[in-house]
Amino acid sequence: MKTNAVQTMDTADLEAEFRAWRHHPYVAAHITEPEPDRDHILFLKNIISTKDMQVQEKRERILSALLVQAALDMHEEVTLQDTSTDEMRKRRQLTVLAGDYFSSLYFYFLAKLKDTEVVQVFSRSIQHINEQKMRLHQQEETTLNGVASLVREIQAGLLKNLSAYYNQAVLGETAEAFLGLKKVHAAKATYSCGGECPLLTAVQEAAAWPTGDGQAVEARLADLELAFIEELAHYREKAAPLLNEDVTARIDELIAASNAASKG
Amino acid sequence: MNLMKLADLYEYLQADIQRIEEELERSVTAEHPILRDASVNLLKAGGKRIRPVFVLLAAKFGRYDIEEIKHIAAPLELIHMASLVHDDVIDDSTMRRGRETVKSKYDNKVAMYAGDYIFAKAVEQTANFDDPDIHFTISHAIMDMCIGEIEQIRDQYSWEQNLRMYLRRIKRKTALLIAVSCKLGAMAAGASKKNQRHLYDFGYNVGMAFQITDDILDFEGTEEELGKPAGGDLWQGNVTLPALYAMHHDPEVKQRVQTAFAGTLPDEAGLSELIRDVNESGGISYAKELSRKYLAKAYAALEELPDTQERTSLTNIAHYIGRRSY
Repeated sequence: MKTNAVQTMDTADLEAEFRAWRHHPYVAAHITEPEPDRDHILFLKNIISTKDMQVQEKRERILSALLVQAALDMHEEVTLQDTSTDEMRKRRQLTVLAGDYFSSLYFYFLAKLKDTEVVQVFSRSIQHINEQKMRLHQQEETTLNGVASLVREIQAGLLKNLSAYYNQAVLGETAEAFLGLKKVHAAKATYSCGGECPLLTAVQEAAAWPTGDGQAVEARLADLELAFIEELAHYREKAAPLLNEDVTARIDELIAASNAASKG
Repeated sequence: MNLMKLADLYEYLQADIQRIEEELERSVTAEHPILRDASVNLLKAGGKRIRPVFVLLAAKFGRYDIEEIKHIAAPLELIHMASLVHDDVIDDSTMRRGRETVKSKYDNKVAMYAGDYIFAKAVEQTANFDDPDIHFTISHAIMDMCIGEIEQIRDQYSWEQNLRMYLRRIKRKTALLIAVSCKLGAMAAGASKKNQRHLYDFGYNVGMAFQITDDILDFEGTEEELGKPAGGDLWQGNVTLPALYAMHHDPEVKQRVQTAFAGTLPDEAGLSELIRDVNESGGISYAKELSRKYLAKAYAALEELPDTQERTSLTNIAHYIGRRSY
């Protein structure tokens, strides 16, 4: 839990500072500490790149957003099942507390910004994301379009609202398509390993199959993937004048990987 | 703690406390019905609202405006509520204040989402203040509290502890949020830096005394009085002051504790023997004396403040904490 002395906008420096802040030796001994999401960093850098502010202020905005994501992701790891061993119980306890600690850190970083409007953008986004998580958890969406909409808002709600706040709304919409597609990829991987996740459950419900036919799940996931690929390609063109090289390259990589996987 | 008796000590603030209550109700109006129900349930479960009370009383030492102060008092209670709903997942608790917990009524996921939602609401409300020092003070306190909770898990069933570790733990667990509640009330009302400091010191010392008393009661009370089995802290591996003193001053007690917890957890009879050991060691007396010392420091901090009705209320609250039984 210490700050990095280097004050640049370099992605690796930002990752290092995130890791330094989120580290607690006891927590690390029992659970896997979250890694910074490089794609989040790239989008965030893109969104605030043109803003007239000090490097430190930009870094603090990016770190705040990464910590929010870490807190939400960590709490997503808390399972429904009863714990049967002391170690499992300890892991659950520390998963809850680590998420809470990341929440306190994002509040701390937001406090450092001295920008109450941005604090409002963050806090309202987090409220909205949790509302959408509830809807996904309760399997309230019965169509794939509805599920896709929830995925967008959960994965990129904060980025979308931040980009709108900085008058770069199209970058937020691009981030929604990009992170939505990544989430579908993750769900596909989970499915192929026989695992479970809220998105998979929601897709199953939306598909409304009576038999639990595996091929139907794959087909619905493929439909969802295709929809996100098309959406991302659309925003790749629409946002082109605003997208920086790093983000553009990542979008192209992800689309190419998706196309290759679907052909394979 | 007897709610009515405590509430009598600041009855003249009732209208403003009701204003805070309304603000809390307005805050937890989530769109999702389950999220709303979970939040409202937590709110309706009540609680002493002691943190908002400290905020209001401290604010009286500055330019008191309830419409301003509510933006500090309500979020502090929301932060406390958010921590409780997550604590129930941590402790796997099914009941709190006589009501089914969110995690029990729904599930762990709902509890996590509800806590995160309420915490974000609290952050949003504090943004009503432009003063960055206020944001710093709250966020720093919450960071410390989280670290304290992590370290409490780390220290469970660890019998090699010392007084410093215990005091640091109860500071983070209880005293910090009370101290910060007092300081923030004063800050939000623009009270002098000097009075902010005195109020922080008062809150810190009262909080320490409160927690030590709580830890004493866990050994002295009956299951009926406590609403849970006596010695529950020790059984859960939380080394509180009476046990810490007993183990430090009598190696045989320490040995018996270590033996009792070496394999499976001790049964009721085994736990009763350990409670008797702690009582006979002088651990309770020592803890009571330390609690009295903290209360004396709290009174000393109050002496530095102007002699007002609010100072009297704070003094009475400290008296109450010193006298409280269950």
